[in-house]
Amino acid sequence: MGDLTRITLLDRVQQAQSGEPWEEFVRVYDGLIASWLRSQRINDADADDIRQEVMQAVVRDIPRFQHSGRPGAFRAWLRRITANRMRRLWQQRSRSRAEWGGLDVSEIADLLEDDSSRLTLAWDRDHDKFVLNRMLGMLHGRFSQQSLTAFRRLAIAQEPVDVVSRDLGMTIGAARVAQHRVLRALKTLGEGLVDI
Amino acid sequence: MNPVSQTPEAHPTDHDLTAWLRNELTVEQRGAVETHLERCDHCAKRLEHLPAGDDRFVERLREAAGLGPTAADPPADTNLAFAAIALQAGLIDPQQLADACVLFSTRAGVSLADLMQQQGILSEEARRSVDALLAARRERRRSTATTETLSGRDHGGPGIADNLVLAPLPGERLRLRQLHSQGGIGQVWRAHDTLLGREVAVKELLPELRGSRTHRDRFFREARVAAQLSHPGAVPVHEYREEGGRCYYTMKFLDGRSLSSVIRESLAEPPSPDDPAKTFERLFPLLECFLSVCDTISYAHAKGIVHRDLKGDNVVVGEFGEVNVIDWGLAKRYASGERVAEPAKRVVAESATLEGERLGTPGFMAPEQARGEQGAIDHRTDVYGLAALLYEVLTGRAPFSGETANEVMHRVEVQAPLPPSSYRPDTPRDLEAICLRGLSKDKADRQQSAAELADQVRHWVTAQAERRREALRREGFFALSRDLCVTIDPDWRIEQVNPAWTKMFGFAADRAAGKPVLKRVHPDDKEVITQCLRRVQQGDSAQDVVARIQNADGAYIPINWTLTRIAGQCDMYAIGRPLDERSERRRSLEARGQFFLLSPDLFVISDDTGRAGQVNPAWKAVLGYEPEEVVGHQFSDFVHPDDVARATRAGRRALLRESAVNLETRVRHRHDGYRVIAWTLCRVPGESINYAIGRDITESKRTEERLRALLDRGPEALAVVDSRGRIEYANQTLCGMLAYECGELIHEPFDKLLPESGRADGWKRFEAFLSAPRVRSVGRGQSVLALRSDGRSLRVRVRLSPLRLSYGDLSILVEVSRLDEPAPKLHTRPT
Repeated sequence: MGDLTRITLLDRVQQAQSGEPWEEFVRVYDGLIASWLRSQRINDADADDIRQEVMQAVVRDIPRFQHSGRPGAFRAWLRRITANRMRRLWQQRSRSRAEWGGLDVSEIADLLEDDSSRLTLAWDRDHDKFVLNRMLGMLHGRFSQQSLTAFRRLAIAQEPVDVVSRDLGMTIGAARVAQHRVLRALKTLGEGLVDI
Repeated sequence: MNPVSQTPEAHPTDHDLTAWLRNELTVEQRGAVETHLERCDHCAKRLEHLPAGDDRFVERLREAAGLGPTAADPPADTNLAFAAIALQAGLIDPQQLADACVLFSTRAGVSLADLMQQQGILSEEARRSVDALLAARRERRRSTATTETLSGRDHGGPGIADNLVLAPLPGERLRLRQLHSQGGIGQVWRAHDTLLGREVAVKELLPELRGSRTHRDRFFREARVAAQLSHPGAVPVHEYREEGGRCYYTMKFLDGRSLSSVIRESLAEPPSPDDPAKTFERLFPLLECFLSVCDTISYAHAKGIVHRDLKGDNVVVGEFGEVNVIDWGLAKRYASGERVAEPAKRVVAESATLEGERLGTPGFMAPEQARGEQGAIDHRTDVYGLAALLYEVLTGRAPFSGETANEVMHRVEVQAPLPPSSYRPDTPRDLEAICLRGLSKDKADRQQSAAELADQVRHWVTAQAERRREALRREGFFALSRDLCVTIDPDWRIEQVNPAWTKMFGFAADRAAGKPVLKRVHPDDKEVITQCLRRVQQGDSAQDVVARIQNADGAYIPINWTLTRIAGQCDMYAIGRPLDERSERRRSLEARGQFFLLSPDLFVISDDTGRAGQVNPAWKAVLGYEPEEVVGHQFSDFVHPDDVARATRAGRRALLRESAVNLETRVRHRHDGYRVIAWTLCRVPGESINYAIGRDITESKRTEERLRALLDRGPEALAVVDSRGRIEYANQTLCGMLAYECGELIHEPFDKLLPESGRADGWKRFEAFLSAPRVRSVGRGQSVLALRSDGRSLRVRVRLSPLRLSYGDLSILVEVSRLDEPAPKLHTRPT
């Protein structure tokens, strides 16, 4: 397993335009945007267009993205890109079809762009939840099943340590160490993307 | 910090352990602490009493896993409850609530109560009283509803429906708007709830059945069963009333279409047995609906309720994809371990289902229903129903049909259903198997629960979606590439091109698909590409192949191609990059040399005084001169005296800045008379020499003149259009018909003669003609509209014939015959 010192996904993605971290990153964010758009009830065709455009912009601009140090800088950046693309799509639509009767995408875009709107609050939460969930998945193969189970049961399910360590055949200390190692790796992996 | 130099036996200090928990140690220090902890349970236990630092990350993780406090939910409930109480107490009206909700949705971090107070909708005093009521209600709930879970999910306990009964009498409150539908024992009205300002549905027992105790009981039971179901896929029932001899209940009004009509619409597409992706695309939204239905039914089963009448007509799909199962009129409680909420106020006999009545829709009915075995009905009857619904999704019809209900039910009992693929050959085999298993006559042979059936379908959908995502990922890469990407099928037709293609060549990706790959390749490059494609098909790859591709304006753009086979498939994949300027120049020099030698055209390079410096062998073939007889001589020695002045002007112009195209001069043949030569003059960049290419058009000139005389004299309206769609010639009859001067039309695109609405179609037909040029009538002899210069339109019939003049290019002879008098002026005159 080795020492997982610097596996910040953001760093690695910014440094290379291809390879495994890159694919992982695209998979996570593609999924995030798609599911978010779906939750906003934007129809599939539009959602697809928006998602593709957002991902195109992200792929193009991420090497130049600079984390301002303020928590949530990345998800705010992504949020603004998404709002922009939604508005652009909306403008194209309204140009091509004056009588368009669908959902007013530009309204959602306005709310999304507003840093203090409720939608933005939800966006931040959804982003973190989604990305963390996927990152947890990425740790498979980097940690033993035993360590991951220890982490899940101790940190997430908050089960008593003696029960978990007995079930897993570990000492209490080993279970705690596994829990913290996984947590550390997860924090590093998400650094810059998920700021809590 | 300076800890952790101890041996594993020495216990780390609290300080060390805290630093470890907070991830503040160096790698070595960390290693030492961890090695120790792994062996020392004593220290591991000490960890629990140490401050772990920032736990918010873990909290967020717990949320992500669906555990832990979800920050948003409880306040939202509070907001809703606050609003409901304020409304009931008459402190706010529906409009004020609506306004407040709009504001609420745009602001974060403010409660609805605060907002109402800020906006002056509620006074401080009023707010306090609502808060007090809210607190009292919470207290009451806490003491009575001990089974309520922390997540706040409704388990059939008291909900908002109870509150609404406190409202004023329905008579004043409900305004019936229109009859929506009529069923076996009830009719459904669309009504307006004047208090809450919303649309509701009112279901009323048919007036003629009011006298029957049995029907009243059955109707009440239906309302009760539906009210037990608090699930997004079941219609919420608001209240039940019997007054003035009328029995009715109100529920949410659903705006949407039946799943059956959605299925019918999707089946209008012809089957695509060769394209599973397309089939999946068609089925996917339907299967999503189907899975929602499964979830709802699964939920109902958990409540001990079977629906018994599942079919597409009983599923309503809303505008935003919400899926509701309706018509629980036949639903029945069945013996189940997990019964919830037994009827309390009123005992309703389970036998309210009339004896001997076969309930349900024959074609969708399970065999045990068809036999009228009420006792045999359980949740697996609905599994059959769901499979029947899946059958409808796949085929658009019920599993069984027949002339009479009895005939259908007989088949339900004894016959096996026809496999869905016999109706739709593109039915995926796995889905068919799942569906047919659910339709087993014997309950034990079916999937044993709605959830099991749903899982099988969901598994299929997920697997397909995964496969599709993979394809999309490839496509995504494809879309992002700046290079031109094309996939080519084994028949050498374009399958797919990427957006870069559109940018480069100016026509849309979908217009390229399906076209022969050689269509837009420059005629001189076709051979090279043909050889390449053959090689690649045999497994080689080809690199650095230059082929010129025609863009939407007809110009050829040289592209450097790399071609390979897609691993494991018959498709070929070509990536192209436009040639950069330098390699393009080198290439054109080589090509020029080639041309120079082999071209049947005349080539001459002359200096700024018009003296020939170099000529090609074509001079011998066309004009009979040996090269040495030409080199060093003035061009005027060869050109007809009358044309010399014109040619001199053109030569000078070409030297200065521009090229001269189609300069026609007569040139003396060494032995007999003059030939007509069409010249193109251009300057070699950076040098003051002229480069001239001449083509002998004597023959074509004669042909053209003869043709022109013929066309001019003809009584038909005729035009000649070149292969780029420009009018080369239009005769007097045509110009008269369309009110143009003849000169006005020359070199104009032909679509000038079409109304704007017909132009796209006109070009489509033109291209179709070019791809297979033979005599044909446009639109299989149907008429088209032509546009006159005065904006009026004219109904005409058009015939196209290929016209090969001797100098190569295809021209098209257009024959126009008029069908009626000019129609009234069109509204949209092209500008």
